[in-house]
Parts: sequence; C-alpha cells; structure tokens
Amino acid sequence: MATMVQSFFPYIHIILDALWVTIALSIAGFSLGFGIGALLLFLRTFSNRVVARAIDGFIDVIRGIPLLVMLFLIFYGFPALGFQIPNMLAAALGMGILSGAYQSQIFRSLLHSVSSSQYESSLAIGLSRWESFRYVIFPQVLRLSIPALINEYTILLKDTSVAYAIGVTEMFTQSVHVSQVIMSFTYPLLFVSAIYLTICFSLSSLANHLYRKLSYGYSIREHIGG
Amino acid sequence: MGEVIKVDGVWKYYDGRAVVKGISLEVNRGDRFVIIGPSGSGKSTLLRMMNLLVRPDKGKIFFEGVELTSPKVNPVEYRKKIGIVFQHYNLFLHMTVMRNVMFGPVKVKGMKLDEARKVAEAALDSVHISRALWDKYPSQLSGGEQQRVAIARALAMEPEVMLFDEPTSALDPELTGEVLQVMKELAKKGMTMVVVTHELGFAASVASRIAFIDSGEVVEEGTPKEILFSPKKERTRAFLNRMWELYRIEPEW
Ligand SMILES: Nc1ncnc2c1ncn2[C@@H]1O[C@H](COP(=O)(O)OP(=O)(O)OP(=O)(O)O)[C@@H](O)[C@H]1O
Ligand SMILES: [Mg+2]
Repeated sequence: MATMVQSFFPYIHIILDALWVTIALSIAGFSLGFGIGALLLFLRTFSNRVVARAIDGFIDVIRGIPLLVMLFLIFYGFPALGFQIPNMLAAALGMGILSGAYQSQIFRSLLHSVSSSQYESSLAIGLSRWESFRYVIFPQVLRLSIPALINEYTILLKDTSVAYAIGVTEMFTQSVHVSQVIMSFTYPLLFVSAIYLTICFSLSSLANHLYRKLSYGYSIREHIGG
Repeated sequence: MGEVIKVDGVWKYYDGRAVVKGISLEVNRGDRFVIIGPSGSGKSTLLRMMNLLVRPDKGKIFFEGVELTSPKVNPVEYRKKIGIVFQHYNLFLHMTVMRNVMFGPVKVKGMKLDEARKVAEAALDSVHISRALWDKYPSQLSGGEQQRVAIARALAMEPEVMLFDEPTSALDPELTGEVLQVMKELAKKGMTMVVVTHELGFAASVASRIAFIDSGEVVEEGTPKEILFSPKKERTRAFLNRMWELYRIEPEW
C-alpha cells in the first residue's frame, strides 16, 4: 500500500501541470457559451414568433446531444468537410455550443424576473430596443444569473474530462496516463477527484452565498420574514 | 399658440376591445393638462400613446408638429424630448441614484461624464434629493424619494414636456406631499405638463386645463373651474361626487 502511494508521488506534478489545460478549456467553453447564450436571448426576445420558435427548437436539439457525441461530431466531422481542427479547439467549441444552449435557458428563465417596466422606462428616455437590452435588461438578468452561471461553470469544469476521448491532455487524461505507468488507478483518480471536488465545492459555496445577496433587496425572505 | 402635443382621433384596442375611443386633445406650451377619470378608463394608455410607448391602432399623434405615428418617423428620436414619470417609479434597479439620472444624458445624448454629472446634480437638486442619497440604490430609498429621482431622471434629458402617470398613487399619504410639491415647482418654472392624477387638490391649484375621461372617451374638457366646480355632464358630476366623498371622510374622534 505505502509503496503504491510512494510510486505515485513522483508523477503528481504531471497531473498538476495539466490542471491549467483543464481550467483553460473550461473557461474557453464557458466564455463561448456565454456569448452564444446572450445572443440567443437577445434574438429570442426581439424576434417575431416564428424566429423565436426556431431558436427554441435549435436549443432543444442542441441540449439533446450528449457532450461526447458533440465532441466526436466536431472533431471527426470537420475533417470530413475538409478542415483539420485541433482537439483542444474542438473540445472548446463543443462545450461552448452546448453550454450556450444551457446558458440561454438560464438567462431566459431569469428574464421574467426583470420587470417589463424596466424596459419601458429605458425606451421612454430615448434608448433603442437594442440599447435597452444592452444597458438595462441584460445587466439585470446577468446579475440575477450569477449563481446559476457559477454552477454551470462547475459542470463545465468537470465535463472537460470528456475531452479525454479526443485526446486532449487535460488533467483527467494525464491521471489516466500516470495510472497506466504506475499500474494502479486508485491514487491518481482519487487525486484528480479531490481537485475537481475542491474547486467545485468552493464555487458552489460562493454561488449559494451570492444567491442570497443578489436579489435587489426584494427577496421573498423579507416578505415571509425567513 | 405653441402646440406641443396633439392627439388626433386616436383609438386603441386590446383583445378586440376598444380602450381608447377616438380621443382628440391638444397640449400647448406651458399648459398643465390634467387628466382625471375612473380606473380602467384608458388614462395610462392615452398617456403612453403620447410618446408612442403604446402605438395607436387608429389616429395620429403629433409632437411639435411632427407626426410621430407616421411610418417615416422613428419615435425613438422624439422620446428623449418627452419625459415620462410612472406610477411605480421604475428606476433602474442596478444603478445608483446618480447613475440613473446621468444615464440618459450619457447614453442617449452622448454627453461627456463630467458634463452629465453636472446636469444630473442640477436635476437632483431641483427635486430636493440630498447628496447623501446620490450613491444609494433605488431599493434603499423611500417611495417618495424614488419618485423624485424618477422626475430628476426625466428632467436631466431637458424635455419639452413632462408626462406623469398617477405619480403619487403608489405612495403612502405622508409621502405624496413632497412629490406634488416638486411638481408644483416644475409648473411654476413653466414646464409643459400632462398629469394623470386622482389628486383633485393638485388639479384645482395647478391645472390650466382638465379633461375627464371615462370608458376611453373625453367626456368633458375645460378649465379647473369648469370641470371641478361646475361640470356640465352627469358622468363628470357622478365621478367628482365619488372623489369629493373621499376627502370628506370625518375622523372618528
Ligand atoms: N397591455 C395591455 N394588454 C391588455 N389590456 C390592457 C393593456 N393595457 C391596458 N389594458 C386594458 O385597457 C384598459 C385601460 O387601461 P389603462 O391602464 O389605460 O386604464 P387607466 O385609466 O390608466 O386605469 P388606472 O386608473 O387603473 O391606472 C383596462 O381595461 C386595461 O385592462
Ligand atoms: Mg393607469
């Protein structure tokens, strides 16, 4: 037993070195997803019923695709169309598109919490519809979305491990490689699990804390005295 | 002389039901045009049509001679000259008081920040919002303070006319006075105003003209004396009797 832990120690830095790949990939996917999510929200809010339906349909289709399938579609599909695509980029793209669908749902559900009178009063001082969205509606949606977005990010962080399947050398991939070298999966996998857990747990605690703080002082708690 | 807003044979339907039925009226420069009428009579709808927040289904709206309802006219260009104050203040919740007031001058007029700040300070001073409140958020203010900030936000755009939609009816009675006071001061400075209100005392002392609206129609229009104290139409009389009744409630002690 002790010897097995000892044989793992020299390889820890290999896993830790790959942590930045995991973080870079999750941030890239999240940022892309954020852009897509915000764009979909805007299009959906200001388009006619037909376009809104089409966007909803698109979101449903995207959300129905498993991440692994999405990564394969991009990584093996693009070359079939004549483009080579680096695996890191394929992973960021696939995660970003999927996350975009989820993030647009987050935004949409919170759009209802922003009163339409906020929109009316920004139109009233002479802003265009786009400016009202950009400066008044979206910042409020965003503020309310922060806890849900943090949770979405923790999901993305863990999902980076799926990029193993297309050969991205992120943290999980490296733990598998180390396992193969020392011929035991136990400690490398426990070790990466602990890292995922630590980051996700800290972020969830932060999300829960913010959730209570971000409701403009109009929270239900105040009314029911909770 | 100097017609600012003209409403010409305007209709609005919701779910197939007419809520504004062919209303025409004119607001001249310097007018304090007060609109009274029962709940659901179409007052808010009429007011929102004046800056085209609500688009009429029939009829025309003119602002300083320009037909806003014309398909060639972009109403966004004209809204900045027409201030509006809502019943529920509708301040931007994610901005401080100061940013609320600076926002229009900066984003709509493209003013520089320091210049906009001067305009905002003057506007806030004119509605008696003290410096201590400038960096607070709307949720930290009383209703009366929020409504006065909302007035300052509209004034900072230097509008040609101010529309008020029951600005005091969401306020506790002890807070209505401070808002009405600010509106009286505005009137004294010569601001053209259109005010939907149930405050008959305000109407009597400030209005230059009063229109009584019922079921989407102008029943009667005239000077405060004519409408409040010698109404010709039975419907006007019945409404005013109900309203005066509210003022006549005697304390029980
Ligand atoms: N966006 C809307 N959709 C459907 N019906 C509406 C809408 N806005 C107003 N109405 C209806 O039109 C009628 C007139 O409404 P409006 O708000 O103009 O009345 P009001 O005179 O301002 O009443 P109050 O004194 O209660 O504010 C009401 O019956 C109302 O329900
Ligand atoms: Mg109303």
